[in-house]
Amino acid sequence: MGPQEKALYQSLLIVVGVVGIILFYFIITIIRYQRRSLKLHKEKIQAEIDTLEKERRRIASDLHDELGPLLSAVKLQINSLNTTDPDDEEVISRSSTHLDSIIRKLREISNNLMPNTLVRKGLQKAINEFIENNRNTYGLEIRFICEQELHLNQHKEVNIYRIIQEILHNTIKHAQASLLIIKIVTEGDRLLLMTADNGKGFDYFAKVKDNPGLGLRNLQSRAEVMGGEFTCQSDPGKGTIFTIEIPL
Amino acid sequence: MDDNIRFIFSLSIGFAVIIGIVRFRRMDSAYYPLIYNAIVALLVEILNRILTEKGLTTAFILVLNIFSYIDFFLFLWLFHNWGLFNRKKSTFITIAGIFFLIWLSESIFITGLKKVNLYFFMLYVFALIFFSVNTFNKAVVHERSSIFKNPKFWICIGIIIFYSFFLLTVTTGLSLFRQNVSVQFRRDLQSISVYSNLLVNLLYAVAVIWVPRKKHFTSLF
Repeated sequence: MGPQEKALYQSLLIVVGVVGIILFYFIITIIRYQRRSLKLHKEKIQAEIDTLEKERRRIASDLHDELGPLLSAVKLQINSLNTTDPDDEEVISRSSTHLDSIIRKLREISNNLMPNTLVRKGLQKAINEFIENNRNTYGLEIRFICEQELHLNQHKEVNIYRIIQEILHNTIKHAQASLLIIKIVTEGDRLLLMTADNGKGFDYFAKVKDNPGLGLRNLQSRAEVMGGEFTCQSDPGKGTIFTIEIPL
Repeated sequence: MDDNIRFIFSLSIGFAVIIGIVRFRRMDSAYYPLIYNAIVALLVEILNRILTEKGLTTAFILVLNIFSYIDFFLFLWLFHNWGLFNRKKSTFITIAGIFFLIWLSESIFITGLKKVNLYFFMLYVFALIFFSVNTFNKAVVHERSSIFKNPKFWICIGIIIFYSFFLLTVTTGLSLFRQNVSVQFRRDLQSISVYSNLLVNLLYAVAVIWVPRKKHFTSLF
């Protein structure tokens, strides 16, 4: 190599070095900002979910502990009315029946907002109860498979319960399925929640691109706050499969 | 740079191949084109050594020209699997078809099979860099877990680094080779690509480690 070529080659190496340093700095900066943004995003979702759950718990407790006894007292007072007029008796009887259904509905709403079983007896029992309440009500057969004992913190239990609730509601509302299988397994240091239905399915990627909807976004957010990974596989006519991997 | 060292550096793609073969059955099938590409690249590196030692440079140029299209096609397939073209098979086939026609036209009418398809090389390299930048940005914006563990991130960085330096050296070479430059200068110029190739091969190996596991979607029914 002549001196001119050597000088040229050195200049070229300098150019390559400068481009390399810029690329390196660019990549490092992107990683840092992505991490920061990710942390903020997770904190935001966590705060939203916490607020939502707190509010649900408060409303459920208000309905159950304040309105419930009040209605029961009203019913008691109505039943204690003494009348000989058959018309009045019928009005009292109808009012009592209405009050019964209001109390029942109130308990249902309160239980949907924050199931007592979930708080007192844990996730498995709460899911079983939830499925039992919805079994065959919409022509949908639900199978729940969970052969292992689950030991999760309450935060994860609530999130998993909400995910199952959301999936079941979506299946009833959109899937036109006759069978829904829900399976929970623990494999090493991760928990796997899988659901599959035999409904009409949908084009997942098109749906996500257009407008994922509140339900899908909720599933994604709840999986994210647990540090999990959410996957959906669905095609028109081929049912829908959700898989959520949660680190334990 | 010594030819033996150059050859040893080029074999670094073997790391990605070995990890890929070990993990092949368990990995997400969307990443298969990357493993195929690594295997083809390794074969081309070995063929390069054998043919150069036997003095069959024309045969190697033919191999390189064919590899240029295979390399492009496999990366295009990978980007298609990642949803870059909105998962539309027709877009993927159209792009692959257009590039095949360009490759064929250059191979037959412009440079012929005995010379390197430099114009096609530059074109597909530009395309791959654009696809990578797009996918890279999408991964940075949408990734909801550590981007370090995202193979797309490593693969795109690899493509951007390697092909940018490749373009830099090729275009510099093209403009200088018209003047009378020494063989040593050409070899030194190529050594830049050798180092970037080594770096990228290691990045691919890291990416293959982070390729997600296959999902067992059908296990419930």
